[in-house]
Amino acid sequence: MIPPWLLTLPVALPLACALLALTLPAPWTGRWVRMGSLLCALTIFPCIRALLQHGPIRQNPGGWGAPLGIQLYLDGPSALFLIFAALLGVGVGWYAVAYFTPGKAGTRARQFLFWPLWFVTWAAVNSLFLTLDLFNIYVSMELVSIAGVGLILIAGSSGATRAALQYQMQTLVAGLIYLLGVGLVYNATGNLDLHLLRDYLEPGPLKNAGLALMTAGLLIKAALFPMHFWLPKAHADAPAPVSAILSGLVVTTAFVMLSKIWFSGLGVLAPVSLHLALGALGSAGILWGGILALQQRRLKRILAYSTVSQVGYLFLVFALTFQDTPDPARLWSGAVYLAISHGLAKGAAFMAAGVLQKHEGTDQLSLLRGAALRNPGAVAVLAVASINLMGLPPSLGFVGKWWMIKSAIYTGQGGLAVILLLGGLLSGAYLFRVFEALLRPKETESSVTEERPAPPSRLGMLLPAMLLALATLLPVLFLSVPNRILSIGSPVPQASTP
Amino acid sequence: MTDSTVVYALAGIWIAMLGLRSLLVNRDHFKRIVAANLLGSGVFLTLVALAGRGEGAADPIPHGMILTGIVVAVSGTGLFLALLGRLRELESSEEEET
Amino acid sequence: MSWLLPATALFPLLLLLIQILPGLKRHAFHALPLAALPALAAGIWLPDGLELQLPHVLMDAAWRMDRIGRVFLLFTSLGWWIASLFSVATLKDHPRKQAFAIPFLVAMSGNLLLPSAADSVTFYTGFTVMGFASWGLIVFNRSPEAFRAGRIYLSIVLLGEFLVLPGLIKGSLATNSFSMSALQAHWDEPGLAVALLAIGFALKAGLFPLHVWLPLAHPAAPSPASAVLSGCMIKTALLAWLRLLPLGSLSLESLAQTLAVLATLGIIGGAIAALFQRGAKALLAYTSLSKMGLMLLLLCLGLSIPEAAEAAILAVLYLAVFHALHKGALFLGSTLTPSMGILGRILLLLLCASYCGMPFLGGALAKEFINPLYTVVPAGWAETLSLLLLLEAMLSPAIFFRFARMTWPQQQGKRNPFAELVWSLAVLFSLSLTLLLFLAARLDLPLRLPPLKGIPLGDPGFFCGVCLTALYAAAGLRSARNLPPGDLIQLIPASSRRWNLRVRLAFKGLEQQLNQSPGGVAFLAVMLLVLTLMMISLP
Repeated sequence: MIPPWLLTLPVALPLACALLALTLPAPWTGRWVRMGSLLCALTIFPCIRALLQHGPIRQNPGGWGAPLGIQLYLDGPSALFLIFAALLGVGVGWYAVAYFTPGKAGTRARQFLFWPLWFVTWAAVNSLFLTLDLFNIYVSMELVSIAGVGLILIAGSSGATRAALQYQMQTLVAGLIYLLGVGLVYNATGNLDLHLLRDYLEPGPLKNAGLALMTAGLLIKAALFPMHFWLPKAHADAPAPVSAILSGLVVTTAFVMLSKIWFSGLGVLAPVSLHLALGALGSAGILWGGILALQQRRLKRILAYSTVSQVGYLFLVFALTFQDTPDPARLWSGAVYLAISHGLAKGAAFMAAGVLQKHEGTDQLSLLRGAALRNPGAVAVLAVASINLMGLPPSLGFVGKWWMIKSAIYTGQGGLAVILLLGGLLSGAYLFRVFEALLRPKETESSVTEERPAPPSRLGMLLPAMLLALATLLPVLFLSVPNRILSIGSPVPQASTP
Repeated sequence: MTDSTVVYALAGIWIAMLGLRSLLVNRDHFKRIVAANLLGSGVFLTLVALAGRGEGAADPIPHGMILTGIVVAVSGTGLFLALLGRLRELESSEEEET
Repeated sequence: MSWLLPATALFPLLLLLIQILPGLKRHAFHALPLAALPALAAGIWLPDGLELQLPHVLMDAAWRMDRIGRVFLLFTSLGWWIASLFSVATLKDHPRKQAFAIPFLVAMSGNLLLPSAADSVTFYTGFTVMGFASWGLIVFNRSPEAFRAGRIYLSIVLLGEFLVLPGLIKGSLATNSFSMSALQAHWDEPGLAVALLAIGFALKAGLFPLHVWLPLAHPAAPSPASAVLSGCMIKTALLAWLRLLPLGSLSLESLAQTLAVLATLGIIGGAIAALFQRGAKALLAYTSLSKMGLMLLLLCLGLSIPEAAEAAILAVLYLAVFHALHKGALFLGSTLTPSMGILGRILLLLLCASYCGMPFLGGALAKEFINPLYTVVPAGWAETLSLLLLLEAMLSPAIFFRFARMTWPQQQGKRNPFAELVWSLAVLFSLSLTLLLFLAARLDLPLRLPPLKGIPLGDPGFFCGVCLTALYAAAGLRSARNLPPGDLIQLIPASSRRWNLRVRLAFKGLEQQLNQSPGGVAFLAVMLLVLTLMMISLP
């Protein structure tokens, strides 16, 4: 028997940790955050075990059923995303404990705010992965966004405040547009539940407009080109753990929500032209993000534009799913693996960049010369993460890329395949540019005397980062396990092969 | 669907579009947050009007959605204004330094 | 036992871990030569037909041992083993030796994954791992030339990936499996996919005109790295061709002829450019290009004329082994011999002679393998082939005379006895190759080779070449001109950098413009687009 509160755990526990983090005195924070994040991650295991034993699970917290109450639903894709959030949560948590060393009074106060904001983000993201109705998506996305604003602010500089302002404005507007869309759909169908909406799939003006508005709203949060501008700005000044969360988690979640809305049923309302338009925007994002990443002089900005590019990859899925693909299950799992592996790898990359920044005091590539010899660990993490970002085997990102290119070739959209490959080329170019800069010897020998000591908590920062980076490679060794989990209750028809 | 709800719904859409236009045209932060609130009001009005469709009492669920939306919009506006104030502070202190 | 097949590739990674662990770091570098030994053992003792399938790993991974794989595994692991011994000998006191060991071991791992790989994803994995790890070896010196060579190398590697991946995916789509043998048997109509695969993999072997990375990368990398680069890694292009292209079953005339022309240009161009090089390593790089061109040409022959495929494959296998051992030893010696004594002179001369095609030694034996081809190919091909071989045989003595002069032992510098020992071992391996094969044929050893008749006398052009070189040397002429390595790359003018800058600035300006538009005109545009598309689709 599954306890009726099982699915609320992944949401409730991080919220409780957020409250605790607000009230605990500072010296205890580090220890409790570490334990708290582990606990929150461990709550996933009973959920997954229940999933494997009983199939998709649907629960009504508090006993309130639809349409008044919020229902939580766990199926295969949700489970994988919960694991993803848990990995990122533990990784970022342990990393941040080492990163936010006690400093001046002002900085400590701001850093202190990181913990509750981050736990709230985690809770909201878990809630999004477990949600089943359109309105809950609105509420949780607003939570994520507002927490995100707070996280961007932690840096405290005017640049960070400006970035936070821009992000706040954009998410407010996006949220309102989304809400209008939800209202229209509700009015047309009398229903908010994604599964029940499957009975109302005839096109109609209100429904179509509603889906359009919901899509538009989510596109900003997903930082799809050309609405990605808030992303590089937000990353520029933000501390590394914040960047990891923004690029790794927030953006991915928005995409996952959009695909959840579309593929649970409402997507049939969308015409082929819209699928292709999303694919076109995704392609533009891939190329734009890649080209701009090549021009940046700061490491974190390169990674930020890399996120813009990788988000473009994800949106190509829309252009590939409306036709007869050779293996829709594999295409779907390819997209999921791309999303998850990118989140993990980007998180690890930002963490490595954070270590470099802490040690060298800057993230300007021209000033980071020779950093590879002083921080081999950080460069190693960056290298492992790059394997995934470039889509090279043996990484999950490669698996995703393979299946997407395969679908593109099969459906006759060779152009999309070429764009995917070009994206890989561009990512190779801008990532190796970083490695070359890190390896270059310093120009003058006198700078040797100005060497700063390594930050004391460097190992504590690098271990979680390496964990996340390896998490993008290791699943390749037992790919059948995530494939099997994905197939449970998946919205896409499954082929017979494992 | 009675006439008044149609009028209100269309009015709501119109107000929302006004807000959106103001958002795009203005660059001053303060004007933009007002425009965003205008957009919000338009959206809420539309939803309320649509909720009033049909016979009998108005549907409470969209009301619930709107209330949540109002809360989010108000707190978002408050956050925005606080950020604006902070930005002004930071910028003036930076000017003093240079 | 079949788990040994992937294990040979994973063992270097294990040693890599030891390099990083804090306690063992200091002595870990000396363990480097152990890395290739499991692969060597596997090549010698594992039986043919051994298979391993792991459907859950990396999308249906499979390994198989067969004759071609065994030959590649043997010379690859031998090459890496000797190079790792040499690395320990010469780099053990280098302050950044871990920075060498790490890409060395990773590249080794990738390279060793290839000979026994039976499915396209595993093969591709090994290929890309090897390719990208080699970048670390090329830029090891961190000089501006090394970084430039690294950049050019990387562009070619990325281009190769760009071409190969769609070819493999298309093949997997058509055969509905990942197996390479299924793919090889499947090619009914020659299409884009075959061409992509052939060209993409051939880039690794330095297919003209994208060969420019080879002469830049080899001088930049440390000697042991150049040795394995030329000896083992560029041969994987041949392995890819052998595994994926329909040699012997289909005739792909147009593709084969185009590639044959390019390969021929490589043979001639490589030989001529080698004559005008100033640096020993660049010279060796160009001769590698020339030999690889020959091997590619032979495979093109097999591609174009199915009856010739069997003989062509055999010739290529021999040439690969021959070239790997000789070129590896030559590269190792290029920085070592100046400090050696009389033994060094003798070995160097023998090595160069063997490479050039002196009778009874390795190079001449190559002719014995190529001769059977003349009976099965049409006259035009046969004439071209014999002409090319003649040309090469004539030019080689001159080239290696120049090389020997550059690296002639002058007894300067410190002697490194261990390194000299390793090098001597390498040379002896190369020289005894002929003897081994000769004996195997005479003693009827089960080496599955065609019986070699007669004495390997080599190409008559060799004698011409020797005479010419002697005359040239006697006349005391010195070559005045020098060709900078990476010939064609000089054609990219500096003005392209300015153009590049203009493009960059344009993009940046555009991004800033779009960024400043208040509220995001872009957002409005997208929202309207989405709305319109949804609404007009209404019935």
